[in-house]
Amino acid sequence: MQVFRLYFKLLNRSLPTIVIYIIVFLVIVVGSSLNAKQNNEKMFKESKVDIAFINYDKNSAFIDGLKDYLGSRCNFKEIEDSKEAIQDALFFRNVSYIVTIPKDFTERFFDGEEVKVQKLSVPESTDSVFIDMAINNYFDKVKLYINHSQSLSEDEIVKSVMKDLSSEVEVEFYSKTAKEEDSSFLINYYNYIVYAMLSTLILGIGAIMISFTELDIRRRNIVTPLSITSFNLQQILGNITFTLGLDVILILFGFFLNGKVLVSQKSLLFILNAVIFSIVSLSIAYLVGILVKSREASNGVANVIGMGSCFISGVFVPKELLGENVLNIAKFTPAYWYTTTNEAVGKLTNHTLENYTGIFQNMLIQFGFAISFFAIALVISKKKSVEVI
Amino acid sequence: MAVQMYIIRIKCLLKDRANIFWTFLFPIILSTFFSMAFSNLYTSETFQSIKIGVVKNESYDNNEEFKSALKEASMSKDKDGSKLFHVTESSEEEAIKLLDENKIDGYIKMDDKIQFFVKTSGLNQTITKSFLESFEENINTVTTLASNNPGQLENIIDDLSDSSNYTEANSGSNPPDMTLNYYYALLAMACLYGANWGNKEITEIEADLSMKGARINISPMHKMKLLICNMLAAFTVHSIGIMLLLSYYIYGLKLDFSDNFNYVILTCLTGSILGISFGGMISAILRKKEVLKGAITSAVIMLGCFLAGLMIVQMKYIIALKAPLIQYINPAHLITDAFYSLYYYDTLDRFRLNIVLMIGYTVIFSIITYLVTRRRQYASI
Repeated sequence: MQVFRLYFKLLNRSLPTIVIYIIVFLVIVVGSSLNAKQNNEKMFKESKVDIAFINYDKNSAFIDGLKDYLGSRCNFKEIEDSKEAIQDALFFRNVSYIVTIPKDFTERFFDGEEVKVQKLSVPESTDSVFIDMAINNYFDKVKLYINHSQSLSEDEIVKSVMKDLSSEVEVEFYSKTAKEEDSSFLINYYNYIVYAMLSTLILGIGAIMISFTELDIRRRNIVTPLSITSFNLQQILGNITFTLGLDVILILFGFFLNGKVLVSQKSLLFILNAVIFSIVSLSIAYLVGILVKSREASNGVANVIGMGSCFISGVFVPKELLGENVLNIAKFTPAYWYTTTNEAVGKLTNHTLENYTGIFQNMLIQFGFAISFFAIALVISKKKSVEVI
Repeated sequence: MAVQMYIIRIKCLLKDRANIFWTFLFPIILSTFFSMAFSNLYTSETFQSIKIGVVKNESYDNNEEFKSALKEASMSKDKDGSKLFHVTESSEEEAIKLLDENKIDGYIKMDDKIQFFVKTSGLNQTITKSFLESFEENINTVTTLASNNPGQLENIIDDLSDSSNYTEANSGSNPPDMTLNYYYALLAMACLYGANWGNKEITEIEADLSMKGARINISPMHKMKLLICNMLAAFTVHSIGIMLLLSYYIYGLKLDFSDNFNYVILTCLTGSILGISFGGMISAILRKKEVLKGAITSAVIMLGCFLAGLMIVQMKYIIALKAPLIQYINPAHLITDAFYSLYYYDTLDRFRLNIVLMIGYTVIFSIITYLVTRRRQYASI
């Protein structure tokens, strides 16, 4: 098993780079899952919009009432009151709406003047529609009281308006039984595996194959008493061991981060899908290893293929936000079918044959990719091997 | 002589495939991925009519007020304005089916009270809830007011129906399209990749760093003169790469930059010099193997770009709030922020600050490089 041992000696050399890629992967996956919202709610929860409230008017009951009313719909955030700070906060969506009450607003409003509050928001956005609606609703009601019960003071009007505005409509989930267990973490984690799998395999296998294909080394290897079949088999065994080892590491990390080891039908499907994708990645890495001639080149290719797949196949950016054209292009990459399978597995609620057929079809498509990449690689390597040695 | 050395150097540099890939091709490829992935990110914030269902039963049919309120909300106020709701009337079974297939966000059912059924929580559902509440609240207000002045009922209802708009948008700056910062940070990364070129120039002129450097040192050419020629050549090649990227941004991806185009080019060129001088300095100070220097340069650039929002766009804002000092020592931030402030602010103050700091760092890096490399002699290598 000299070749097999050599394989891992060579792999050892690129270990630092591989470890860096795995660490980057873990950082990204943990960061993104912290960001993702939990979806296992049992009760309806109102969405709140982050806004900033800047008041240049005096603290009147009228303005306090508005702030109270908005408080049930928004989170107020403190931001520095300078033009640049306000613009920055909006650009990076620290807040999505900034409302500014101008000076003497209360007085002029009660005098019946047509006054308006200043807003800074993402134009036409859903958030701004929502807040506009709330602000207009409050002012409309106050105006109505001003017009129709002249005898009331400002405080009394605000009090009545706040009383009127306290309606609560019941919101319920339409069917409580259909609530599925939350798989968003697992979907997210297994989707991100695309990045780790492609980059590490292309880098690791690329580096090893470049060492083997160097002309002098190839000449030396051919004159050994070891048969070419055994030589190749040992190399293939090395590749498979490396790939499966990576699978085991990544899957164990997944269980570790998830906090619980659950062996359910779902997690078995996730694992099966990941193993299949690792075989596809292996085939891509093998093909790249045959084509590139230097480590630098394989580094570049690993980055482009790894990140590219993640960007267009719904890993970094959810599929719903990708355009139709992009998705059509993505269908030519195996990563698309891998992530689609993950999402289907995550959504699996009832184990009907129909649901499984879709999942297994996607897995078969990935196999198809793997077979065609291997086939191309074999044709090219055959051509190369008959070149003058 | 100098011109000849400059031209020869450019030819040499163009043969460096790895550097050409990382500065010319890689940013273009990555920005293409960005544009594919982010094309809908900004527009996804745009409001779309909320699709809801209503159960058509007896209490709904009899409730004319509610019907007309719903009808009004599903018509646009002005011609181009979007309407709030898109309503489907159906039986309860059909509504459940629509909700199950995610065709609607929820459905309303009227019995003795209004009920709203949803599948998940969300902003659209919250908006619908608050619309339903405001309907009930209108009834409250009318009841209260009418009990105070019984004769006025019709006037009140009339008044109620013409709601006005009390908000006014602050106009001025360009739209806050967050995705632009990704592209700006990527352009900053491409500028700073100039460090690899600066690195190469120092390595190939120092006798203890490369064989080529040893050969050059025994030639009669003045070392500083040659270094300046070479650095100029590196700057030429690298800035051409940056200009290609910029034109790809503008003509290929149709990104928004400031209208003040000269300033955009100024930022690109200053960024390019900053990158090259940074790499030169690293190479001159750390007299180690090339691989190690390359790794350190990449690590510093990637960390800088991460803090400037290349991977997580809000990072730039978080740094500005929590650790503002880092902004001013992070070259990637300076370049990104220069593009950002040109695009987004009405004034040029912050842009000027960024450019001045960039030039300042370039001068400091160059002086350090000069002090380390000048008059260096080698007794043995």
